[in-house]
Amino acid sequence: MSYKSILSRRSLIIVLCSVMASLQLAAQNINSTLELKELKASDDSRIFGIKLTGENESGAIPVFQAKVDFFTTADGKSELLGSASTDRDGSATFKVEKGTRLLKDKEGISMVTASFQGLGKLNSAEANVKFKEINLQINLSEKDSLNTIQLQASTVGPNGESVPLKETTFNIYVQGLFSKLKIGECFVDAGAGTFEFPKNIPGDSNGNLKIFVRLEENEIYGEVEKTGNAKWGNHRSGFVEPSRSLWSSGAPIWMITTLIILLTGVWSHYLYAIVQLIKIRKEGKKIDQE
Amino acid sequence: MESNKRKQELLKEFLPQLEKTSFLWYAWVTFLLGAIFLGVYCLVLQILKGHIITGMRDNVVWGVYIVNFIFFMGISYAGALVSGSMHLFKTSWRGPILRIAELTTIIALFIGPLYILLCIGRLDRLPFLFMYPRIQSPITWDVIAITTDLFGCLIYLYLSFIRDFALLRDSGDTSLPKWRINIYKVLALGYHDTPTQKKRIKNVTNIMSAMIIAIAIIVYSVLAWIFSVTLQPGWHSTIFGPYFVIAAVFSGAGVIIILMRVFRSVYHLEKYITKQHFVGVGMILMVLSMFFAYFTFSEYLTKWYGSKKLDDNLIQILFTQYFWQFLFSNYVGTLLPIIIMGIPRFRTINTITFAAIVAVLALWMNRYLIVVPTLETPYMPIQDTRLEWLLYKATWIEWCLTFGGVGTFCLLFTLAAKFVPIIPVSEVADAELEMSEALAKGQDNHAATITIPAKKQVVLKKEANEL
Repeated sequence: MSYKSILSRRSLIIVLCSVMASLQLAAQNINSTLELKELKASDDSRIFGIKLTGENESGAIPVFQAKVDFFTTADGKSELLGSASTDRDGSATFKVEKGTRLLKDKEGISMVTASFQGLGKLNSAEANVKFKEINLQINLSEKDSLNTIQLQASTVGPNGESVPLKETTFNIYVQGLFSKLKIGECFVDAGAGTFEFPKNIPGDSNGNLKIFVRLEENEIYGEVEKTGNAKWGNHRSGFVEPSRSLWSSGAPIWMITTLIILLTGVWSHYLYAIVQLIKIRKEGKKIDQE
Repeated sequence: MESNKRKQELLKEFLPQLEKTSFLWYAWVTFLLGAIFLGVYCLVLQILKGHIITGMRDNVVWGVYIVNFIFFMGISYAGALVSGSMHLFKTSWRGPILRIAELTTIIALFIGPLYILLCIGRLDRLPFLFMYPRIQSPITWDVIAITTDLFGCLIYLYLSFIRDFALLRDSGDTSLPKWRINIYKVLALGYHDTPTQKKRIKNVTNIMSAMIIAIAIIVYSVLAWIFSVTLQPGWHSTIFGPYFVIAAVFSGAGVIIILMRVFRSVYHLEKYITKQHFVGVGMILMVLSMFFAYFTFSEYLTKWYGSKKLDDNLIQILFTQYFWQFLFSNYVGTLLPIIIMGIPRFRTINTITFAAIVAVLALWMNRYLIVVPTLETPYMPIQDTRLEWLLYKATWIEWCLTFGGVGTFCLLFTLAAKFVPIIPVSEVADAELEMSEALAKGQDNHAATITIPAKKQVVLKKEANEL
């Protein structure tokens, strides 16, 4: 066999292998991943947030405009709650309004499932969250010059009765300029807890603060949030009124005095010059008349 | 009487410049009007479409317009300083160039502030500046300063013109139209060169020449403070006031030399504007270029040595992005006048004019480098970093309005030179008289006491002959 024919055979084999690999890659489906988070918001609605990504060689890529269905599931039964479409980040939120019936098992636990049916070569994906109903109430009050947050929390018993919450820790936040600032924790037992609000937290220009009470990453109740507004901000601390500024109502006395002296000096000379010109004119008129 | 006779002789010599108008003059005026109309067209476009058609954006809010404003105000103050100083210190060779300096002052002072109006986006809010002035605002200082300066310069200019207006009124057999004679009659204010009138004019001119020197320094310092009272890198400097004043007189001296050269050639004034005048103003140019170089070096050295982050950024940009402009503005523009004036054999009228042209262009570029690169390195970073927002590039609209301004300056100068002699007749005649009196006095002293050396007498005679 000649050298040239060996070379051409080898080239053919390489080309064939490349084509087969490409076809295999083209035929391969892409795995998709669905993340699901749940939050019971302050208005007692439940917000479900998802993030859908597809995985290729370069890593996870957000899936845009994919339809994700939400189901309430319990004891083998499943009901469609609704659906949402993902944005450019592969994210979507789905809100379940207060009063919407969610299926529960015998222990009172609800499960919500998010399901992506797949799209083209994207595989289908599913995720679920479980949570038990919880009722949280907060009361912002001022007692004996102390600012306090009173928490009342209960859950639902096997027969639908209200059961006080036991030994659960809630986090307390205030809204900052860009994110929430954690200022402490409140321990709730027998359905009640009290938190003494610190006095050194700056608020907005009027001293207003937005306060968040949150139960986070709880295995039974999931994420729960309650918000309230109070004028407890110590807005004056750290803010020093500037002694002078461009927006001050008046200029400093020294500046006004300097300006008046300068302008008087200059304009009086102008006036003198004009008076001399008038005198020249008068004399000229006299000469003309003569 | 001798003086009056000489004045009439000089007037007769200069009258043809006012009476006759050549085809070239009309062509020149038409060209200038073309440039002005193009500027007006661009102004209309800017008013209709807004400042989006300029290169100015949220980040670089000042561009070529402000550069032109500083430039024209600078040459105006320089004219005031040069003419005021020459008059006050009775410089022997001042006569032929005084009027050029005075006209430069007033014409540039009219044009400079127009660029502020071009820069303002909401012209309808301009009256608020006068209706609700805030004394603590540097902008208000500038408005007060420019207004005061304008009045002062107008009075000073008028004082220097009165005697020539009177001469033109009494010129007799001229082909000047009657309406022009009537205007001269009104403007001459009944001046008849009586001893009292002469004394009054002399006193007031002396006072006003001292005043306009002081005002020019204060006003241009105020303009510098608009920049230096901010915390912007490159602007927040304690030497900005004197630095601006030096730069102003430097550029103004350059413009005066260029105008001297132009009028010398156009009106054949070789007899009056001699090489001595060019060397005299050229020496002023050289000294000022040295001062300017010293201030520039001091300004950038301290900033560079301090190594503050934003100052470092600015210097980095000046030595990279604007390297050639920086080189031209601060090296070529300052070194060339020093070399040409420093080496005697290089001192010809043409080389001095060339140095002046380079200095004027370099000073314009210097103002550009003060305004634009600083705004391109903001104290607070902007959120949107699109290049067209961050960096500045003047559009054709801005260039046309710039040339429109230069055209207006040239046109007003051309018209002024058609209205009054560009050489102040009375001033030159008086200077001649002073010179001959000094010479006669010198000869008397020589005869009596032999105190004046022969060399000095030769110089005095030479000066008298040249005049």
